[in-house]
Amino acid sequence: MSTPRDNDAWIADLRAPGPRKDAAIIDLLAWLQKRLFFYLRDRSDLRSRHDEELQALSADFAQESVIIILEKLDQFQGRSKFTTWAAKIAVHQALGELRRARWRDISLQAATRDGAFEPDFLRREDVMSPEGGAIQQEAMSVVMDVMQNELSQRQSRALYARLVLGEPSSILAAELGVSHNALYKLIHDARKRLKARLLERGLSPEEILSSFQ
Amino acid sequence: MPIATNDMNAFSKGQPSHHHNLWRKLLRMLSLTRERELTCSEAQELMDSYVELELAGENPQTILPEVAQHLRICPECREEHDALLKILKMDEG
Repeated sequence: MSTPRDNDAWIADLRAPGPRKDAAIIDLLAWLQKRLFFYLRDRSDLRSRHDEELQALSADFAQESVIIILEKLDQFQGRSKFTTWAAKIAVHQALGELRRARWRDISLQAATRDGAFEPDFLRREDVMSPEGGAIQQEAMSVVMDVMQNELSQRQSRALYARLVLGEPSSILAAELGVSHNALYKLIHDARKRLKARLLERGLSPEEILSSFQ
Repeated sequence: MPIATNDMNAFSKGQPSHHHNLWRKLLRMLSLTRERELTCSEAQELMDSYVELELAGENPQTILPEVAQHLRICPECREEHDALLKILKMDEG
């Protein structure tokens, strides 16, 4: 970074009008781009990409991130270094984009995705191991009962999309027409209900899990 | 309930089926489920502090246990945490 800055200097420079702000933006862009490039180059799913391509991608991510950082500048509370806070925003932005791009590829490959929801996705007799059959059978019965009779269709669909399809939460939230936080709560409530019903029957998830090992 | 022969074979060979893995994934999630959990936004809010504690050699799991719990259960936030830690370690190298 060309100009070393502490937190106060970053905030002051990014709020200053004119060339002082421009210089701070250029420094922040360069700092983020270098680190994003380093990260992207190390990702196993991007190993086939050329460095030029990854440079361009990291430059795009850095630019998008700086716009968001400038918008959120008032939210910086100084609990960490400014650059850590900025990097957190950039990582969130970049990884969100990568997840959405990956999902688009998967969706194109699986044309039936929209119709892929299987309410019975967990009902398979053949998952049971010979040793843990009884406890697994009871657990499956409880889980299926909760999924069919207690969870809403949206909860079951959300659980399926995250657990089975690995659909990015930002895309799923948009499809369901809810905020990201509301989606988290939807799934959290479903998990709590499933866990509570299992515990009521004396079945701890840990115990059932160990029967699957 | 009968057990399919193919999966009996898979088990005996130590090859868990897709559904077997799904169940394990669900059960791990339920095992980690707590009455009160941070949402992704709440965990994100504290992520920079959490990572700086790690970089300083502190134990963030003790200092910010709710963030640690969220990272165990949320693969997206965990991925972002790991990425943030990795790029900030560049400055230490």
